[in-house]
Amino acid sequence: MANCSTLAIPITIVGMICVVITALLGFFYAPLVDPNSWNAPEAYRILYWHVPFAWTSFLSFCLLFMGASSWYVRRSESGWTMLVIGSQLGLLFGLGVIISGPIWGSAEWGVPWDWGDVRLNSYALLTSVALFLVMSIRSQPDGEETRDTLAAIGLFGFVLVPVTAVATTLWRNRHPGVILRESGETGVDLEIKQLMGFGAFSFFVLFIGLVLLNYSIYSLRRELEEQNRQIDKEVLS
Amino acid sequence: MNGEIEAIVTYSILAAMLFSYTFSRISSLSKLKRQIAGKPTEDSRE
Repeated sequence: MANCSTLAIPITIVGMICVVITALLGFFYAPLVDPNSWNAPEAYRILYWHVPFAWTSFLSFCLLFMGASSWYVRRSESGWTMLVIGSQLGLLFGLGVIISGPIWGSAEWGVPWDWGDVRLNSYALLTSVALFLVMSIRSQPDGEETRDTLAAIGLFGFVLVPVTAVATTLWRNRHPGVILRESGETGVDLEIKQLMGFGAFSFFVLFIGLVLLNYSIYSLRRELEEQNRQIDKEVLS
Repeated sequence: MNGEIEAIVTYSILAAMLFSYTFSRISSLSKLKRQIAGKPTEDSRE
């Protein structure tokens, strides 16, 4: 645990630095996309954060799923902690996608949202589940019943992850297809692919840092509560 | 309009979100570490 707490801050800072480098490269290094194929070629730069934000949110929802399953199967405190961290990070990165997507959409498509696009709507629902979980965890009294209910909602929410992931392949309306897969349709420059890859790596490092950071916070809080209980016992006896 | 302003606005909003969350977490961890170590924090001094 001591190692986890010691590594959390440096890993998070490295992740943040890499994320900032991704943004700078997106603005100053990445080539402009073909102005004949895109309505707003400069707005394409938004995707260097939008796409890694989306991938990292899926990682967060996977953590949420593992936490919810672990809570149901073993009633483990660490499982519950994973669920709490997964929902918080799912909300953070999900909100990033929900904010950046419509801004890019309004520049590129002329409309910020398409209510007929499965991916957009399933993703919005997924982020709403994370928002609901974060607000419920903060407002509801902690107990087994609350944890059971919220873990069930977390498991339901995870079902939307594969639906959202394959939505662009199965029912694509407006949302572009998978960027890093080779196809004539997505055919993007090598530099763009490399930058997307670097962005994914940067956000992955940041994600690991934030998970360790949150895990350390919850562990230290429990340790502090235990210390306070011991002090109370000593005072009473 | 080719989307440059939209890109700058988006990066500003996302960076503000990401930085504020990360630094609030780092400050929470540092505060807890000080409490565990028994050093007085701002709250306990008041």
